[in-house]
Amino acid sequence: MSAIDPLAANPSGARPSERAMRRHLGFMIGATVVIAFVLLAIFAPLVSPHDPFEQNLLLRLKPPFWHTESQPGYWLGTDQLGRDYLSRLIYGTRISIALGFGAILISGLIGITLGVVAGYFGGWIDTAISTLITTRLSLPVVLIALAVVAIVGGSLTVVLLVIGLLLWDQFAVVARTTTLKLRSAEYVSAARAMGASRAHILVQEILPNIRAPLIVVATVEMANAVLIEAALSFLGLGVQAPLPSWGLMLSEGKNFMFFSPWIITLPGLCLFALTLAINLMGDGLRDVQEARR
Amino acid sequence: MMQETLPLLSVRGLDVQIDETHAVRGIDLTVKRGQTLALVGESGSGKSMTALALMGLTPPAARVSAQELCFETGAHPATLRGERVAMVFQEPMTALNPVFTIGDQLRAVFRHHRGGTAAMARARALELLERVGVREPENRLRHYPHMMSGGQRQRVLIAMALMCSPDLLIADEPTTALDVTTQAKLLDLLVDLQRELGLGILFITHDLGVVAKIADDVAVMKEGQIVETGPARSVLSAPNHPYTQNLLDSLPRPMEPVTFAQSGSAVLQADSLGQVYDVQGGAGLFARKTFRALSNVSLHLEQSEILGVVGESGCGKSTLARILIGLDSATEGRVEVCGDDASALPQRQLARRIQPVFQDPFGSLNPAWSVGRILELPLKLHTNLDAVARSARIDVLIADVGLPERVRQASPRALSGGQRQRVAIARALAANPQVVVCDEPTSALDVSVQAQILKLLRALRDEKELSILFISHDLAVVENLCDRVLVMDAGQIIEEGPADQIFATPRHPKTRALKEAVLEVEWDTPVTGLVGHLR
Repeated sequence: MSAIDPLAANPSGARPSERAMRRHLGFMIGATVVIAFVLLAIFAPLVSPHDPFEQNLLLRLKPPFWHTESQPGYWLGTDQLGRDYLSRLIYGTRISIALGFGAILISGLIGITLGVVAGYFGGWIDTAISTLITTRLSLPVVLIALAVVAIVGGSLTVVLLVIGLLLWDQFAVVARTTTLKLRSAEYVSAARAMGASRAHILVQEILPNIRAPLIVVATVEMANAVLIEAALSFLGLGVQAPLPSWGLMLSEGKNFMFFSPWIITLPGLCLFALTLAINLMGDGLRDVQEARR
Repeated sequence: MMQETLPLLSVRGLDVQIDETHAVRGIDLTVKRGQTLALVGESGSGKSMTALALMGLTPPAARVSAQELCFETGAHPATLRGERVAMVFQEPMTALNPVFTIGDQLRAVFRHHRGGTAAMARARALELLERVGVREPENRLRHYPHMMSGGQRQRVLIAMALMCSPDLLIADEPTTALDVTTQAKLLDLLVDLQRELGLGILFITHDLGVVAKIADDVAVMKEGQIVETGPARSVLSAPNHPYTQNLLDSLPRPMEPVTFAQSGSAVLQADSLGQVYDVQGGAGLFARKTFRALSNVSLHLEQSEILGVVGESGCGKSTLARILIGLDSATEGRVEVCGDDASALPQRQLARRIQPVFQDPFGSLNPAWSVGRILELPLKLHTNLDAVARSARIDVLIADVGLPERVRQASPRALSGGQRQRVAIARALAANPQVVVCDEPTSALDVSVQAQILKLLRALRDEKELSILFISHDLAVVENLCDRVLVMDAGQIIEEGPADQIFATPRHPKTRALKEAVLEVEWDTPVTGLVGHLR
């Protein structure tokens, strides 16, 4: 047989999507920025020039380095209590990143489990779970989060749990529809005919094949979680002082914005950069997946 | 009747490149008025890309060049698209717009090219629908595509192509998606229309049987090049190129019959199986209609026997397969596997005795895992081998189905259709079942690959005393492989008997129709007198 050997052409069976991702400009920019933020968060104690909690009232509201009155050693100036703003921003990254990842871990676990179970088993199970999803979709996230935090009291853990328990709807919707489509795939039938357990079919046969769209959902929800945390902190119901959360920094700085505008622009820019980068990454992943279809 | 005039379409040095792949490499084609040129090749040979290039419908990434590409009048055929050059596509399910009625779509073609009043367009549409054999054309004009069967839709597409009385018809595998009996009727229609209208037809197909039936000339295409061309008769009877010879050799032909001694003891037995589904519909809010997919189907399969089940799509073959392998349970009747009631066995026990091979080799292997891991699953489930023994067994399985060892690390994505189907067979054999149920295992494959898979199944039966239930719509394949045959229609078994007898003297009219629809390239005629014949 003289036919072309497909193995010779593509020996590892490497997916063309990996190459496509590397060529996608938006994805590469987004991924680079996100990775940079993650590294900053991990190595915060090493990279920040000062202790973010150390106050020095003699150095209040010093402007960043491009101003003539800037204080040497304090690159992005200081806040109203004389704390180094750059260090606080770097430590703020920790909160946003931890919260973003933590929230999608919790919501992903809940949403994907519900969605896959609903999609695979169908029938009354599907009806019940779909009702649950619809109920969740009808609740306004920020309002519920505000109410819960106001009752229980704000802390990083509470905010994380509240956001994680609220943002699972998109995961569930996407997991359910993709599973519905795969339920009748021949390789799933083959595994069933082989006598494989339900757990095996759900975890080994279906889950790896619905991974791609779920990763896209995860990026969108992560950006969402970061913004909700900032909003709650801004309203004083999220992370509590003196922890340096970007939302809290915006809130604390709002009284000084007329004379020291950097004090709100800088954390705002950080939030903007992180959510934009996450969204760029998600859009890139989606583009690559769609091109593959 | 044949006058030597300018050819209708002449192509020289047509070249199509997409990214780094050279899909078509400098081919020459000539289509004459009133004649059919068949462009034959296996999937990926570049034949569809050639058609798209002629019509100017290549994807944006493609670069097309040609030394000469002109219609009779000297114009580029793409500029005459729809008017003097028309195309019929392969997939009748998607080639019609689902949101417009048949009438709207037919009229739109006419008025776009010819103008005229709506009444004129309607009259033309009616005339053509009647000509292509659509029943009740008046009503059909108001119907949407989903309300028609595949064969009817393909007739509508042909009518649509003929709306402006074209001179050249490009047909890209127009009958591949259809049942064999429907295919035979449509080919007859095309031959008649050609004779009547003096059409030139460029007919693209992978099926040499179709070529033998309708083509005057044939061009055999391989890897973007035409390797052989000439009058259909001489090419099919005395091929010059080894590839053409290989294609001809791959056509299913009865292998030397193995005398199969019936022992009387069945490894798989089904008694009066029936399956009734609830379907939505009927009048009233809570009305339920039922659909009977199977009724009173009984069969038995003995050790190392190959039993064929043949029928058109929708006759209940796949429903039967799913019941036998335990994926669905029948609403009536019972299945016995090796003497035990299948419904009483847990799926894992049943799986050790009976295993499926599915139709679509691109859908039956989980794309997330490597071949090795896919083959390991049944070993983990059904044997108590340790990791080392499992690994050794996987190597044996891969070798048994004739695959190279390095396939083990590969993802199914990296394999061809035939290789994937071999992996699927290896997976079915992993747990040493007594019975393998193959549901159309070769219908998605090229003929040369199909021939290899059939040979493999036959060899496995001989070596491992395997019993095989082989489901197919293709009588030629079944005749080639099976010892005994069941013919199904509308959920019932209408004929049963030894393969040679069924094919020699079919009794039921439906069986006869199936047999007549098999397009053969006749074998034992002398070299000069080879004719493709239908009946």
